[in-house]
Amino acid sequence: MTLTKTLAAALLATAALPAFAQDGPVRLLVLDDMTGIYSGNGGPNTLRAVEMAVEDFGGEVLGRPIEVISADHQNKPDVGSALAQQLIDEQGVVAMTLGGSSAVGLAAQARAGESGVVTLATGGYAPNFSGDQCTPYSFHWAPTTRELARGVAGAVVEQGGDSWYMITPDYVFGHALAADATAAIEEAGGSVVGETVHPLNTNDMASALLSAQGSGAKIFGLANAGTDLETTIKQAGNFGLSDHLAAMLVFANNVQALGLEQAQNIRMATSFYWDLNDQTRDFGNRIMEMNGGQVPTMGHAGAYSGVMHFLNAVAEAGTTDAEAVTAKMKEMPLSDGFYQNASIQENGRVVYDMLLAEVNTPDESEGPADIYEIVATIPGDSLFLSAADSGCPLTAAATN
Amino acid sequence: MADIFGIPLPVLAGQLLIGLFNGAFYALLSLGLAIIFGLLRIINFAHGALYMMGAFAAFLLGEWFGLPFWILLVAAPLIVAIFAAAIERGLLTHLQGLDPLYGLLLTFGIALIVEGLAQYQFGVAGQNFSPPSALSGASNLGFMIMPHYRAFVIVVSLIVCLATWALIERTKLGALLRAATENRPLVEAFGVNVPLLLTATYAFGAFLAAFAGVMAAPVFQVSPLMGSNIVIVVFAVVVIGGMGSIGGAILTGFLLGLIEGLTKVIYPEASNIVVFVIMAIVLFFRPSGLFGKTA
Repeated sequence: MTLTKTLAAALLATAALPAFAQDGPVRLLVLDDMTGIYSGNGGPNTLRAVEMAVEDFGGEVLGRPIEVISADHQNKPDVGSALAQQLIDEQGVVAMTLGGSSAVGLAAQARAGESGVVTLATGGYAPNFSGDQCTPYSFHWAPTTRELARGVAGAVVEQGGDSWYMITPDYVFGHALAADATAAIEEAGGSVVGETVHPLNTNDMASALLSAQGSGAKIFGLANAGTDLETTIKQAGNFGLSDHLAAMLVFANNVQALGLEQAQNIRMATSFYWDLNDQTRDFGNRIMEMNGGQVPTMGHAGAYSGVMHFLNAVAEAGTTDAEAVTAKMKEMPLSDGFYQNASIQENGRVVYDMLLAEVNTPDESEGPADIYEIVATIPGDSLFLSAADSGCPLTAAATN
Repeated sequence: MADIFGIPLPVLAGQLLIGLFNGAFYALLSLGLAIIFGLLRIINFAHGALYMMGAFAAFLLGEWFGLPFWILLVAAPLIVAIFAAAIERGLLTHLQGLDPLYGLLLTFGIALIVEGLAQYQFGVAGQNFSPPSALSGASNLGFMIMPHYRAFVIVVSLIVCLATWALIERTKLGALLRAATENRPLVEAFGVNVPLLLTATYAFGAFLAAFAGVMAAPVFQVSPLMGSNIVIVVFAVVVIGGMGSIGGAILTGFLLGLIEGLTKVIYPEASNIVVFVIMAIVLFFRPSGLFGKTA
């Protein structure tokens, strides 16, 4: 009985598929954390950015209207994976942006890869998206934690901050971030003079900050994230130590939430800032007009850039077939003007120059959105892993 | 330069002051718990939620009315104390004479509801709360830079703890309280309104928790989970000090802050379990706690 039902449903589904694949709208999916802890650096503003890209593209491609749908995966891998599969099967989604928890993004990317659907990891920062879990149709727009850690570490050493003290949360991810940063510090000629490893959810970071200060290090590298990071930044402000801080994982929305008074002078790497050139300012001003002044993060910009590039490739290829579109995307230059020296590697890794940002002091800031000063550019080709070194099985096979 | 555990003495002194600062919160919170347990025989699991409510009441009063910190420091705990009095009158009073487990469950439920509502309303991210401008600077003590606000917290909580201890151990009112704990019918026979005394005690314990919450706001995260993060440690402090011992709660609070501070220098990875290791050891040798009366 159940089997018959399933078969019938499968038949119906296959019968229905060609109908929307040929004439119906081209559907794009924004799969993100819409309300949870990551909704600030992705979430509703990612949806806005994607809708803006579609609008700027003209609203239709290959003579078919473009429709954007969004789904909230709640940072649960099972939910995200099921949603992705369901929307691919029932709505004929041809591409999706992925944000929020990386575990969810990776699960959805795997489902999409099996179904021949293009994925744009615009808000996922785990190296696995373009590494060991890449698919033939996956693109990784967001920088990974590795580039964020190495970017800030290398660039700050070059600016004279050559002695570091690491403040590291005691779990695998934290240790990995600290190791990435340490490698970059040493490559750039600096040294790590000490480290405090603290348990997750530490209420008082004063002890770690004092140890860092006592070590005489010029820079305190923060490999922690979320509330631990906020606590460290808040308390460093109390001790007057803010200008020593370099953070591995902090986004524009975190800085805006902490406020410039507390976050001033912190340095971090980012792939995007809204106030760089005419294109970024246009994007930034439009999205801030819609969202009540929330500064767009690198994830939001990546979603706009990724979807725009996808649509350009669809128009150029004359089809939504994932194989053809993917090939075009890797071959065409990015046209949004958000990134410098941008290109796409064969594992789907989007490479561009990264930026070293320093948070403005309240005096330097000319308005609520004026949060960063860009103090250096970090060349992308020396920062990102090559496709061959990424661990992506597709490229490893190609190079062997 | 003299070293202890391979750490230069000045660095150690700085870390001990940080430990004392954290101990101040443990002392204030465990003091409230000890008073409530001593008189009401209720293991108040809502204590963390009351602490969180103090911080949020201060945050909201500051946002809405722009009240200065000094007024918030009293106004916010008062509001929380009124809330606590209502809880005591409406719910806890019905549990009198029952096993303390019922009180524990009820207060735990209250904590879950209050924290859930706060999370629904404010999310999990921390809210902005700056120290008062008069205390926003920091002084160089030679061996460390001490933010004025942290020094203020240590001094104020010491004063509040000692005053509370004196109130209970050295005044007529305190004597009544202690007498009511020992033999309630007798105290009632003398014409003392014991139910009122109990409500006031619960409200006072809540006041202390909320007071600690307001003092924590400029330094720690003002978030709905701030209470549940600290309350477990505070319970361990109370158990180590001995349930119901006022002086014991204060002393143990500061002492464990110091020990935790030391751990953060010697082996930071263990800093969040050291309190529980000590609790296990103390319970093994002195089941009623360091300052508890053997029942």
